[in-house]
Amino acid sequence: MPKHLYRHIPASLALLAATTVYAQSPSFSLNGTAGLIDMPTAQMLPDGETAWTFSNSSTAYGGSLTFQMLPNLETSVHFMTLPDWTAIGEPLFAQSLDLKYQILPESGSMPSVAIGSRGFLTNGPLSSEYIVASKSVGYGMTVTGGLGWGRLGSYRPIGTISTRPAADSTLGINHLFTGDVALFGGLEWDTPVKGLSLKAEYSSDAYTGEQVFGEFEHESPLNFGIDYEPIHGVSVGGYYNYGSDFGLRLTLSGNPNRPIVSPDFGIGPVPVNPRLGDYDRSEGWADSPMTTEFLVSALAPVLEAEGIVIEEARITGNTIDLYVSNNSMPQTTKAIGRIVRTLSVALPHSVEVFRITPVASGLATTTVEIRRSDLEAQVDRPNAGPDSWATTRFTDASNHLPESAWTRNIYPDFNWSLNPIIPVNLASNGAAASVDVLLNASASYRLSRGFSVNGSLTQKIVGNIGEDAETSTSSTPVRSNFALYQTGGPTLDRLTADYDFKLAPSTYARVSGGYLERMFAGVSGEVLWMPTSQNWGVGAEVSAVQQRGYDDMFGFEDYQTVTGHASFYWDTGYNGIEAQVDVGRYLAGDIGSTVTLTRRFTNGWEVSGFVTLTDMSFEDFGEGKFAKGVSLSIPLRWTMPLETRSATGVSFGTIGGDGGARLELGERLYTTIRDYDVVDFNETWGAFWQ
Amino acid sequence: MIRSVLALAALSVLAACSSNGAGPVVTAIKDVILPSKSEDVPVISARSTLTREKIEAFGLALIRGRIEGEDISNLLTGTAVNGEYVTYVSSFRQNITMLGSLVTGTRGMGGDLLSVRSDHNDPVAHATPTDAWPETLTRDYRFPGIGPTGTTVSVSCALTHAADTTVIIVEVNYDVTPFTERCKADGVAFTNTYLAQPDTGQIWQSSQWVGDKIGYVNIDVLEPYSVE
Repeated sequence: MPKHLYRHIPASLALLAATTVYAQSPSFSLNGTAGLIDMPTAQMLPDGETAWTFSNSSTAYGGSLTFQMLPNLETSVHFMTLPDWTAIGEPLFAQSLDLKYQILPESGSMPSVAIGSRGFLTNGPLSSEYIVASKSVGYGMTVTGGLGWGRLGSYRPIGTISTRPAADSTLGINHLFTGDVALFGGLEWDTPVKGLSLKAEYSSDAYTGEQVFGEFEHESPLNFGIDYEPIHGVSVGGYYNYGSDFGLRLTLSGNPNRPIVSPDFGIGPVPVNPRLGDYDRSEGWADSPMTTEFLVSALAPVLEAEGIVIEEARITGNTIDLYVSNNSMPQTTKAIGRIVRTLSVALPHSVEVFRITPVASGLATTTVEIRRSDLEAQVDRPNAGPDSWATTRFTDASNHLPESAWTRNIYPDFNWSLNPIIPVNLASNGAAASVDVLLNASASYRLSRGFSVNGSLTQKIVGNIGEDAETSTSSTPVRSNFALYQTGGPTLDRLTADYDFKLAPSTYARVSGGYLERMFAGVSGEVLWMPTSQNWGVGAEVSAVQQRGYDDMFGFEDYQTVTGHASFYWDTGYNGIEAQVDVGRYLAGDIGSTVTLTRRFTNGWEVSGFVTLTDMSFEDFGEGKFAKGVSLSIPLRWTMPLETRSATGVSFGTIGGDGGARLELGERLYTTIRDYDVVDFNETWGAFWQ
Repeated sequence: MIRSVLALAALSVLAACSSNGAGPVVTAIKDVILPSKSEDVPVISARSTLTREKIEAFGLALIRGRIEGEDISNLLTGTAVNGEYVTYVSSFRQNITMLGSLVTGTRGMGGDLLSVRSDHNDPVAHATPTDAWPETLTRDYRFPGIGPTGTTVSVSCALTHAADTTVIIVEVNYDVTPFTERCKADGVAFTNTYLAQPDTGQIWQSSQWVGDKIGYVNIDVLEPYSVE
């Protein structure tokens, strides 16, 4: 008896869930990096591991973000307060970038070996360098020993390498691996109790500054600690240090490669049924616009169920062109795969060429051309991934299909959203960490695909944000008066008219005017040239702005300026790392450059860090001497079984410095279109068949 | 002034509302939890008592799948045929693709198996009388990863069999030969089992590894696909 095939077969099912077994990874030190207590180890966290640490002791408190940028490179940014560094009760705020590079992994009888720098490039109060080796010796024990310089060479040094400059927080490399060198070491026991480890170390940090200017007493070089990880991703530590001090640590960690919810859990794709060999190839029906409209109206609800909206459509001969917005799926390649599968089921057999163009923020990006016969020949086959990549064509899209095409007629379109925001101030000029609850209302009135009016308003609900704000003494307080803007009342964060368009298939443009951000209003224009086939692009942005009033939502201060940058963007293709260099004139009129490195994971995780140096003197620059920061973005899809492009973001950096300050615009062009070039499609092509 | 700001945006996403209705969390949960739409009204259900009569009346290729460790089985119906590959789909549109009796793909189950390359004489992929089954074989399992090729796990497998026995699948007795297939690769080892009909090689029941994340799926063939 023939067994017919049927599309929708009802059955009762349960949701499926996969469980994952986690391997034990190195523990965290008091400063949030992989290490003992105050001393480092040569161990590395799992690739991509991202850890947020809050620590507190009598000598330092604050937060840090540690990111395992590469399998053998650990990076960590610290924003610490040293309460008694210059004198009792006179705190010093210290920012530092730590790097640790594992030269050798542990293997056989050989230990792992790493070299590292705390306070890299800045000779500040936390600066130190080290070479360290670690070895597992069985029974859960790991032994570590190393040589330290700087702070880590200050207790009972065994020698000296030249003279180390005084720690004055200046930029440079002259201090690296200079001055006294001392031995340190320790032991960690991963106990049979799950998640519990005990530590002991011999510290080479004499805490000289804290003893001279504060009340800290260094009575012993021996530190002892206990770490406990009750659940994966949450770790706490308690320490007894230097015979006189106690320290506490809380670390929250996650890993893009270890999603809480599997990224492909959900609804599967439509199966592809190939056409029979003698199918009807007649194309005469395609000439009628009514036919196109009929097909699109039939396709639209099917695709909208997957969060895909048809913006424009045209059928000519054996080809269908679709311009689509993907509002749900984090990976564009997955959306394209779902679309072509649906087309293969829904369209007449004579349609052979599927041309799909994703539209992002009103901009048509890259046209992805897939032949239906290739799809049918490749689906389910062992080599479907590489074969489909080889037969798919990518070209720069014109911004619109010809006028004769079917166009979605929904404009004007109004959207709004209401979101609570909970910023937490970890350190702010000695003030205790504060928690505020704000309510943000955003609205967008889109008059056409590229032209929209956007607004954003924030109101404090509870908290102390903006209290005790003091007026800056800076001659160009472009950011240093930021606290004055936090009035507690409603603040107009943005009210702009924005037009996104294309000058050519590979050249994108944006014009914005109005209240661009909370502190500045004016007009801003941007152009980006980035052909889809290349892994780099260049852009330029120019803005003429005037500083907005502090407590008048629509008023202005006197300060006006023209700011702008030329930008170079490079997707290295190496471990998802992207580089960006901006050169230009900043808000305070200073000339300089910002270098940004970002690692993006195929599942949407993103970790980036930037450094800005300008011709403004360190004294005028404000807190931190130069601008720097890190940010982390975690897609909601990573944590929940939802098809959504939403993400949760964390920023960690300098606020309030007048040097190196850029306009904070809603979304710049590169951010809008970077997911749609060939390099990005290649990295995520595995999702095409999902 | 130095300020470090943590934006707990996840909360905002969870609590957000907009002109499009509730936030994505609420919407998606509704989609998952709310009963199926009328077009999905069950005709045959794993929750109801499954009888051979219902299967025969159903008239379609049908398998029953269960992820090892889960309590509930799912019914999946043959929905697409592409060459030798048959894709079975559940009502939640989670898919299992099979080449013969070999699971070569899963979709929507979390930890997708993208595809499998098998030997031309793989008796699981191509029904073979059990006395002709090879002692060893190789396969390549492909999973999502960076780039079009993704991650490939290449395994070598050894097949052994036990004495013939009988298995009952929804009221039908099958005389079968139990096979155990032990597969290994760098860092991976798993064991598949098959109950195969000796004369035709038709596998009526199996437990097959489909990746680290899902583990094993147990398959009962309720009504095999045929091209007759």
